[in-house]
Amino acid sequence: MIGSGLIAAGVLVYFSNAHIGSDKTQGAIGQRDVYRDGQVASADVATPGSAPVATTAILESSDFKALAKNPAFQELMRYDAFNGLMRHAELGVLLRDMNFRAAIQDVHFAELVNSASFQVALRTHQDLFVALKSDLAFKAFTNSHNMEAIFRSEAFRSAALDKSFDRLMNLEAFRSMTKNDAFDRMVSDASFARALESGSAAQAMARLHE
Amino acid sequence: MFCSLFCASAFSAGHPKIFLQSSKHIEVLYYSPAHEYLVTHLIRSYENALNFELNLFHFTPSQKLTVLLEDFGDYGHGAAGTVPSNFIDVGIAPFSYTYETLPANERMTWIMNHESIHIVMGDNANSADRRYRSLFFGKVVPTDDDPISIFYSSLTSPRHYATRWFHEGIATFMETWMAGGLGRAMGGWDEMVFRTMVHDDAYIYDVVGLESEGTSADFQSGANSYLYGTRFMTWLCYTYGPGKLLEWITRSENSKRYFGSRFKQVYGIGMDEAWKMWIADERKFQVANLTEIRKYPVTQPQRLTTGTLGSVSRSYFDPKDNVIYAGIRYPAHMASVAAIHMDTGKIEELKDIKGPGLYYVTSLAWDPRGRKLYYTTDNNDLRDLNVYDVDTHHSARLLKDIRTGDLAFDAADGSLWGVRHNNGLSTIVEIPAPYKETKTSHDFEYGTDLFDIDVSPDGQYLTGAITDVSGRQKLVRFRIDALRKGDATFETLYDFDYNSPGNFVYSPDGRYLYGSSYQTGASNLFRYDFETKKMDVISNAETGLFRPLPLADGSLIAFEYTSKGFVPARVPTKALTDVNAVTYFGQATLNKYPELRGWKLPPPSSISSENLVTESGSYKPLQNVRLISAYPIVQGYKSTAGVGMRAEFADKLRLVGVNIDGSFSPDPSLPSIERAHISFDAHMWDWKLSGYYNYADFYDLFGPTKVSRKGESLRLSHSQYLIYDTPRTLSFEWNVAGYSDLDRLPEYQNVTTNVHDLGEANVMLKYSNLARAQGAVDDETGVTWGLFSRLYYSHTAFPRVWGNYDRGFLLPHNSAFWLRTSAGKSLGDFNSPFASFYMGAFGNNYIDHGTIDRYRDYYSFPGVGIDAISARSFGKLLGEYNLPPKRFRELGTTWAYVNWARLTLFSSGLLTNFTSTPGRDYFVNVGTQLDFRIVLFTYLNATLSSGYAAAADHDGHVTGEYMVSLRIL
Repeated sequence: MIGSGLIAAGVLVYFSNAHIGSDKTQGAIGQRDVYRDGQVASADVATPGSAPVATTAILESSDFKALAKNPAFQELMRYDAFNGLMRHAELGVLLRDMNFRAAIQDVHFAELVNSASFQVALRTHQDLFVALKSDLAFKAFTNSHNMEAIFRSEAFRSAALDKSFDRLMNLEAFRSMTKNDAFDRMVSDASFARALESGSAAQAMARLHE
Repeated sequence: MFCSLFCASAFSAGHPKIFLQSSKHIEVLYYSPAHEYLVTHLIRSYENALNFELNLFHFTPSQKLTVLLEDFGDYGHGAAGTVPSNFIDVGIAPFSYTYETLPANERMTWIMNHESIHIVMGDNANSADRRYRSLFFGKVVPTDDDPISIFYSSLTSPRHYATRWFHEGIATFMETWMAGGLGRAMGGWDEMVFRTMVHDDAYIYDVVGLESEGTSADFQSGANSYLYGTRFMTWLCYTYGPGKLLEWITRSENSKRYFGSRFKQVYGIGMDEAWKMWIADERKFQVANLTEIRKYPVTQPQRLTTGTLGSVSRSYFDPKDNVIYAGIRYPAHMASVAAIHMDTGKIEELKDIKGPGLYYVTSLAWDPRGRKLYYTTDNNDLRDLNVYDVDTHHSARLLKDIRTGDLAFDAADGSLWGVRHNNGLSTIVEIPAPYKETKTSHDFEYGTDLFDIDVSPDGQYLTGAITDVSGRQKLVRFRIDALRKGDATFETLYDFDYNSPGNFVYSPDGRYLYGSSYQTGASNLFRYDFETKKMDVISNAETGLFRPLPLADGSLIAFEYTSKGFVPARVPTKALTDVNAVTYFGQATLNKYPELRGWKLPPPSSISSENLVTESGSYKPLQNVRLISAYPIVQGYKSTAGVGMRAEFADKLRLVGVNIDGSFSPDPSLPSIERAHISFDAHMWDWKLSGYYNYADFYDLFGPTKVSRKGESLRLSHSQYLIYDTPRTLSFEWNVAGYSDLDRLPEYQNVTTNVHDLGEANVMLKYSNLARAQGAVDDETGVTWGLFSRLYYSHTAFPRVWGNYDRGFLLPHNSAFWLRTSAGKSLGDFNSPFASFYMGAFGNNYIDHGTIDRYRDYYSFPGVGIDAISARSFGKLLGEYNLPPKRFRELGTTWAYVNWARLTLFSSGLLTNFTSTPGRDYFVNVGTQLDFRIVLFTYLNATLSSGYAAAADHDGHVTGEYMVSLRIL
């Protein structure tokens, strides 16, 4: 009698707290009966970002061949600061940013990046734009929405923290290339940046000059 | 449309390079190296599907399949075509899993399974079809330039001309079995839609009404083609077996060309009759399901509104104003962020949503302290982040094209969290106040997607539904401090297996998560208790309950699914002990025909990748131009008829192409020099080159408007978008043209000239920002304007400028009022015909291919003859009222039916030569036009228009004009 009562109480407690188990429904909660026999357990895709076909096609393009003959590009390719920075994705992102390419053409921009106040702000302030607003070297840019976007972008902050960045901003060959149409088209392909980073662009250039 | 989208995308970055990888049966084109990681997998997925289809359908592809990989939108999609070439467009972004309307298994395989069935249906040919393809050098594209091409197209691709529900129904039915049951024939949403229609005793569309009304006026719009089509296919399979179904859909020898005729040939009854039988059986099936649900007490939602909201986003409660905020989208209204008043049930539309999602409408987040709503626009393209202040009613766009949705507001620090889709990958991002930039927190691997996220009230945790390539889904929890460090380790709160954890949100005290799931078959509400770590069912819904909204007092609001969309309602929160499962019709079919399990494909990895890719490199459109088709045509030249040939050449993406028409008019009344006619129209990216010699046109065979012209012409055009933020666009176009041997002005058929050589230059700037509510047959609101200048040069220059500005106002029931204004001024020698504008008449031909509403154009003036009014300067004002369209549910058959009718009333005033007192004149008119939209050959739109207008000049002289016109395509 007591046993029956305990069982009944147990059943009552169980169902009054009826819940869905982690792998199936319990109690009187029905579960839909549907055929599910998954076809794909893993997607055999390549690593996102790898693009050997596109990279090869880009390095065989007329744009790249024209670039390879350009003395400024050749100088840029020999420049360690450029090659070093290209190993970080941020410079590629910046080079694809029209605002940034326009800013590079302004000599005040290079001066600003080289200024002590910029370097201090870079390391001490989260919001570069606000930090530099009162700086004299920054005056020319305070009304520029484009500059605000650049200074607040993650890519700019990351790239600017690289010790080679300010030297690159002063390099005439770099400024010259950012005005070059073929370079402009090439950098809009992330694969080109990767080809620069991996050295395959340099190898392709060497083959062209053989 | 695809071309304009591609060209618009191309515009922003110059013409993109296109890359190619090709196997034996498929070539994949892609413009971004960032998409290349998917290519091999995609090729294997297609080859895998094709192996299955070769056997099941005895299918031999007529050509290699071309696939374009693109990332033009934030949610994945696919589209397929077989005319003129086999082509699939794959949008690589993760899918929207809202309401579990789609399965969550690996999507490249899923897309290729589904889309490849479209290819089979459209491309499969018997010997008769193949003969016609040989005769016309390929599959003919129907073109309104030469409507006889419609007939040829139906000969070369007969099964292309089937209803959309047929194509989507069979593709969805097959996709389910090809993926081992992971498809919509076995989907919870599909099952609920039909159960609810029976529950609500709602109208279930018949075979004609579905296409004429169901796919446009219903809140699910085009999705109804998939829903009904899949259901009908499943019923056919259940009732007659899979063998008969295959017999119907396969284009075999001796099979009838038309899919409806073939149906009768196979099943022995008409499709209409079978459809009625299905609906009768569907009612019985769903009554049984409802009976099963009702064996235990059902949840009785207490509705808060009398009307339905259609589709609905995540919602929020604002205790200050006692309203619920949600994004809503329902017929005859623009999608909007709305406030639903709890006390009165009033639905207050606060702000239109540009580019709403079909089901999820918008990603919505609520800042209760700042009293601001954050929402996404361009939800079918690249999403923007916007803010709406509920107190000031001001809205602003914060970030453009951030591609981020699934927003959740972190009340602890005011940041927004979201999920970004880019390059086919999902990323958790944080958007800190003041919402000027996004910070990447974690990139998921391909195939893993997070959705329906929420942030705990204390800002410590982010929860959401996570899915992987298998389609299994879990409710998970991340630590926000860890996410900020890039650590996306998560805790699994509950494994939902193959069910979606839908919209799980925190209770205000943070103890519970409330959400929904189809675990019992119907979508019921679930509650997860963080203290006990238990998941309870708290509803026994007859239809479906979604998007629970827990309130601070412990009560709960949820959205009840009805046959017309969602309705907010109060629901109880008590844990239930008894809820019966419902039976899915797909499962019943499988139980009856277990051989459907044999249609499951092996994984794509079973296709060896060794030597799979046979060609790779750059795709050069110009070098890939091929003859598409060539066929005989008939044309009109002045008042004579001629016969000739048309040939079309294009590359696979149609980025480069040329059409050439040549004909000969044997009528002896024509001078021999005017009997031969040649015209061509070439394009390359956004450049066009066209020309003619004695231009002839099919439509000159019918009616008073003549566009055929004597002489020669060559025109070079360039167009580009300065703004491409659909529906807002600003385009700039220029063209230069030269004419010789004219006898009529190029633009005005009734104005003669004896000028030998004429030069023409045009510059145009056109802006458009038009929108239409669900169920519309035309644009209903917005603005469009244009500025145009033209220079004719013949010994001397004749410049002119004109412009237009139109504004529309949406009125109830898809009616609209429009004000259309235009004005122009012409310069140059006033005695020359080149120095005048000419206006008059409706301008529609008896058989036509121009716009149906030509009375809207500046050069039209119904009530007087063609070109009857000449003016050096003009100003015109037109008022137009479009009455609500009448849709027809059952007028016609599947191969020809009337879709809708619309009556328009208009009146305009025209002031001419307003710059010179002696020549000043004015005219007024009043008119009406009645349009019937007809669908011919199941697939092709035509419009039968009739109209009458009366016009009066300043002397009170009244003239009238009747117009009857059939517009083809």
